[in-house]
Amino acid sequence: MIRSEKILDTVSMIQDENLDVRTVTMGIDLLDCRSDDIDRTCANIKTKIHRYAGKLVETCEEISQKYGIPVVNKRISITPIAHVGASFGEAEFIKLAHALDEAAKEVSVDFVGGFSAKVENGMSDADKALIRAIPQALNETDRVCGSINVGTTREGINMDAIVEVGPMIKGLAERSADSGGFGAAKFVVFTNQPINNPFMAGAIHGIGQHEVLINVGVSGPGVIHRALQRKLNENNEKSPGLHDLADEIKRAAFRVTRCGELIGRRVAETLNVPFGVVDLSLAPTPRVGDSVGEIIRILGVDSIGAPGSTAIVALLNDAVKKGGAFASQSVGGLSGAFIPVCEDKALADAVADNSLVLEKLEAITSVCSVGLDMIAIPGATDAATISAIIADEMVIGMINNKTTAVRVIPVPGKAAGEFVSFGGLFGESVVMPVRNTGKSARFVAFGGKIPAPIHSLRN
Amino acid sequence: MTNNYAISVMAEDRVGIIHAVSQKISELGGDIADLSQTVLSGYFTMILLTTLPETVSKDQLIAKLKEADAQLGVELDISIKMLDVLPTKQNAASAQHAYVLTARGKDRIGFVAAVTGFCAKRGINILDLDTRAVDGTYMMLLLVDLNDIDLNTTQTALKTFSAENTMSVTLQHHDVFQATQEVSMPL
Repeated sequence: MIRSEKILDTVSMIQDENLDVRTVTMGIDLLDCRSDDIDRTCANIKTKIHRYAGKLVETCEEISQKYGIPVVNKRISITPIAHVGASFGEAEFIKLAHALDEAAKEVSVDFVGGFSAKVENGMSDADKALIRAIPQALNETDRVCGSINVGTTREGINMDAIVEVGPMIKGLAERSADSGGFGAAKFVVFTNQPINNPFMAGAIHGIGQHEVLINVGVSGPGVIHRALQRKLNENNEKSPGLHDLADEIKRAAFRVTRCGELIGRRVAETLNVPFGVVDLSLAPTPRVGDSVGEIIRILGVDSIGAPGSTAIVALLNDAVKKGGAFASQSVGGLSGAFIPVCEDKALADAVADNSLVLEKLEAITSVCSVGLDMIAIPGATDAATISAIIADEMVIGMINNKTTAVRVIPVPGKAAGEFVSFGGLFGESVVMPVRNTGKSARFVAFGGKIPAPIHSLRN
Repeated sequence: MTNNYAISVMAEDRVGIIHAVSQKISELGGDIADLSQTVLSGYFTMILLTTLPETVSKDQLIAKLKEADAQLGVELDISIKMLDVLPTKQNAASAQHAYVLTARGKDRIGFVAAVTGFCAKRGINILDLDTRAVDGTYMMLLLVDLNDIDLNTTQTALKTFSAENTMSVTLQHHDVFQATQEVSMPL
């Protein structure tokens, strides 16, 4: 038997420190559902999702019960729908969204991700139709999430697409004005979007993968927070250096990741499908004690966003990856510390007291995954400014060879400082001010492409 | 020909007890088949299985072992049972059915009886057990064998049990502890 201290250690990670598996996401290839008839395509999609994911939720719950680790979300990611619906127009893409929504409800998953397109170099007719369909499609459905990849390090940034995405995000928010613009929370724009990310809203089952597989996203900010607290409370003669704290994070991340790997592999085994990756992201929830912001504070800044915050997140992000990489056979997805403002109570509080501002968040995203995530901004923010915010964030990803993303919610009718709540895991926050609005229209109007950086020429 | 014995030894703990006992057995030509010892809050206990030549009687064995008392400066409380055959049954559950049950609650009379009663009533075999009391909180950690026992029913019953007894109870497959605490566990 394992030593009792170790058993109690694991039990307390789950009982007291909010350790869970944040998501088990089944990736399903839908390319063979294509047909020239929209109704047949929709029927094919529903049949296929039902065939593979019919037992997903039930299996996750069985495994969760066996190991005593909650699996918070069960989700599906699909082949980016622009590939599946090529040749269809806007109206047909909206029908596809409804088919996905119905399929998701039938198999009781929380979300299905992949109402998506890859347009880093240019937009096909299908991509254009999809982008036009997104505001209506995501607002008429409950469980469908969408994403657009507008850039890669190898190809550069498609500014023509970004020009369209700014107004699209405003449209998404305005159509869901009665829920604070929540529609925009189901959409994210990427550079270097991973093809196997299990987290929403950007989950897709990209081209070049198995027919079906299981990916897992772990949680664990609470575990890391408590491990750091214990380390700092030790009565050693010499107080720990940052390298000691980084080591502590590594060890905690190892344990967290092993839980995810164990659950994911057992679910995959039971369903007899291949296991894909563990995403090593630290995903916070609005619960107290499950926050990345609290980790930033315990690592030495009194307010999140104060100088030092970027360095702390860099250290945290790297240590999480180092611990996690050793714990898992195959790591993928986004893999880094998330800083989704609304979904993290400590971050949301820092916005409320003005210590965390958009520019600092942007700086932090250059050293962590994923980007400007779940940020409520004033509904009056002009579309060109939103496009320009996206462009800034996308080049951070392009130049640094990493994934970056933007998921901002221009809350209709609300100004900076007002409060908005999205409920559940999506959390709440005050609306963050956006400075210098209305000053980027000329830049955005150029359109075209931001060329790939010199270091994209690697062959 | 040989005789088989199960020998248990209890005493206040000190250095050299296992050596003294095993030395006496070897002097009698005994072969130790299996041995387990633990020290509980400073009190030593040991159980061992041994095979001795038929020529050594049970009384001789007791007398020989008691010689250790003077040597150790402590009185060993020894109990000996002759066995027809040496038991060889493995007491570890197959990895597939090994679960860890933990119970935490306010330290009180009847805590252990309640938890083990839950197991006994449902035919759950306890393979290993450890307890500790910290600041008025009592904790029990049990390695249990759930072979042929329905996990769902047991989990539901545990929820009722923990509410009725105001304890925090968990039941988790043993693999999760290995996965989180041991590098060597292949997943």
